[in-house]
Amino acid sequence: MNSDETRQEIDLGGQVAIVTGGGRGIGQAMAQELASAGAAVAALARSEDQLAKTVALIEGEGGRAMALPADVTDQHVVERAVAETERQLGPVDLLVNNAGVGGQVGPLWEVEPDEWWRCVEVNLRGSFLCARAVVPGMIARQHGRVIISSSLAGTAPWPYMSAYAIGKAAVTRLAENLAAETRAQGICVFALNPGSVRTAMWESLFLSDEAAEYLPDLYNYVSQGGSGVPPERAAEP
Amino acid sequence: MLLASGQADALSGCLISVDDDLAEMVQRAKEIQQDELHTLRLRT
Repeated sequence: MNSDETRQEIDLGGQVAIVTGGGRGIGQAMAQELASAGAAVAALARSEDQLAKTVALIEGEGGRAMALPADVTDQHVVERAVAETERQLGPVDLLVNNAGVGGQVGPLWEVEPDEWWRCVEVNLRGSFLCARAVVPGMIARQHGRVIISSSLAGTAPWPYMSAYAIGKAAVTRLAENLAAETRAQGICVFALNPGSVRTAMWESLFLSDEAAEYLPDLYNYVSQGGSGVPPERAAEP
Repeated sequence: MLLASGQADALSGCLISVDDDLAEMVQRAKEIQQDELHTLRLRT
């Protein structure tokens, strides 16, 4: 099924979705896809400027969207953002946990501990906190879906990207666990590997001096214009 | 989009990749869930 067929057949009218990391890249593409299918979308990210672009893109196509400036690692900020979404748009039917960072490239014993942990924290704690804030309402309504952005890096060792690989392995297990805990309440949870998408995060990771030293194949691919998966293709599943 | 639509709910708990054939996976959902495919498991 191609993207056009999917758009024509799927109607998300009346549904409310939160997309974290919705200010750019894959998250922005996901927010646009969901809005084009009729969902009202709350895009959550740290950058107000980027969020404004996402909202403008969606509204320009006739969709409904709101911006949620927030850091996914801050429990109280996340809880307020979910409450604001429900106040403005209604109960949340879909949470897309897409916010993530790539961390520092390098041997585990040489990367900065704070940067290493920040990568795990954004990917894992962010997904955990957002799910924790949204799922009780879904349980009360016996309905909801959660999609967590994962990666093949979470299924096998990824040398020199340990924080990213560990964070993605953890969120994959988070999806499995949450699915098992909420199956009886009518909630479905998925881990989604969007593939290698050429985003700003991708470029900052793989065009770095560290990537040139430790991940030369990827560095060469990106520096020579390798395009990866288009963001809109990554949003299709 | 298919995940959001409910058409792939039988695959809840799975890791799904952009290149996977979701329609085919949904048809095999019982096998995928029973054999714990598309999940993180220890193989011995």
